Amino acid sequence: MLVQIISIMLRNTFTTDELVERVTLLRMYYSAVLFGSKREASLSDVLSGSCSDDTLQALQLWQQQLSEAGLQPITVYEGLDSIEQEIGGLPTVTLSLPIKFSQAHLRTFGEWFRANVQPNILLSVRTDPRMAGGCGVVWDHVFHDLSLKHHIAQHREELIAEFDKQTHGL
Amino acid sequence: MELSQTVSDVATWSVDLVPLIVGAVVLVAIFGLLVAILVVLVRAQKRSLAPEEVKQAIQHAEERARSIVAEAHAAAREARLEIEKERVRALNEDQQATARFVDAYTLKLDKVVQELSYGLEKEHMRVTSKFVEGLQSIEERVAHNAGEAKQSMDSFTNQSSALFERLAVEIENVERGIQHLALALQEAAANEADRNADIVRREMQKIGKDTAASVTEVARGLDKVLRDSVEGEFTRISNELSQYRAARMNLVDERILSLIEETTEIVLQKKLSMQDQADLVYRSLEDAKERGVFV
Repeated sequence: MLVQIISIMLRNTFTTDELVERVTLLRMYYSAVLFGSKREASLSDVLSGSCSDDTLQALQLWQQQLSEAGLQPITVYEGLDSIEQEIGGLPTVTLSLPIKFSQAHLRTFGEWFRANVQPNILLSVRTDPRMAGGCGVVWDHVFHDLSLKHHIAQHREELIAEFDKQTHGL
Repeated sequence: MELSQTVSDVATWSVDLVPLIVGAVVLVAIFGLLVAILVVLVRAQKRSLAPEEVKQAIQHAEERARSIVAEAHAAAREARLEIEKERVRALNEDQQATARFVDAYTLKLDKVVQELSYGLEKEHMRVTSKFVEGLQSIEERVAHNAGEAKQSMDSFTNQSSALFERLAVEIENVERGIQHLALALQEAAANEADRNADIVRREMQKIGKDTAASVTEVARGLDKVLRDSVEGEFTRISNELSQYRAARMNLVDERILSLIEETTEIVLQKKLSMQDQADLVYRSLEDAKERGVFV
């Protein structure tokens, strides 16, 4: 059952930050509906103002898919503690990026990693403007510098030769 | 006697009464026992004989039990509600605190990024200015060296002119000597006929040899001066050019890479769109995949 719930959550969630935020919001919603005074409230009724529209839509998709899978809210609620523990064991790649990308771009990066590296992998995203372009990746405890800065350093001699050629007339 | 008889009668009478008393006591005891048994039997008979009361007692006990369980359920539910309310309240507080922290962090991060960009741009301008100053300094040195070379060439030309003038004077002197000698020979020939002809020829040969030696010496001196001067100038100019090239290469080696990096960083941060940046990320990832980074 936990595997089924986590599988549904991962379908539209690609970063650890997103996953933790959404699980927390789902717990808030279920607490209000199951034990509070808002028994008939919807996700937007409870969480409006607490998250972005994208996040709200993602949670609505979770709710719909969990319901289609026959999983009752109380069942999901009782499994949230275990789910939070399981999240820590999922494969993760740290991705350092030169700028702060939109959620749509992060989603496509996540899809690339799931298609090319592991099907249930999560991204841990960092921003490092010094990279200029490209990215850096920590995979299997090893940092791989794939940035433009590193690329320039690798082609140092060629660049100097080219510059020398271009500035020969100085 | 009568008294003793009386005492004796009483004693006899008393002895006769003992069995009666004992019997009476035994009877009373038996009667009491029977009464007790009867009471016990009556009581026992009373319990077994009241099933309705027993049933009512059981029902009463069951109702009490149900009531207690219901109260316990209600209390448990209230306790759970309180706990959940407390938990939701704590979660809300955490959420708000997290949101505040994220806002503050984002603000600080944006500020740091802005300061970093400003610092990079400033550093880039400073380094570029220094680089251009370096190149200008080299150009000034080259221009200065070119001026010195021109002065050397002028000096060389002046020396050469002086040598040529000296050579011309020497040649004129030789010509004048030869003319003077010819006149002297003509005069000697007229006066002495053939007598001193051999002496004259020898003198002429001697003068010719001396003149040739003098001219050759001047020419050799001129050649040496020319050769030394030209070679020296070329060597000096070659050295200056080598130094210029080495200085320029050093500047290129030392600064150009960081210039390219810093310029690229500033330009890409400001000029590339988010999609362009994303394309660079994909390209990097594809390269890494081809190199087997994710195996």
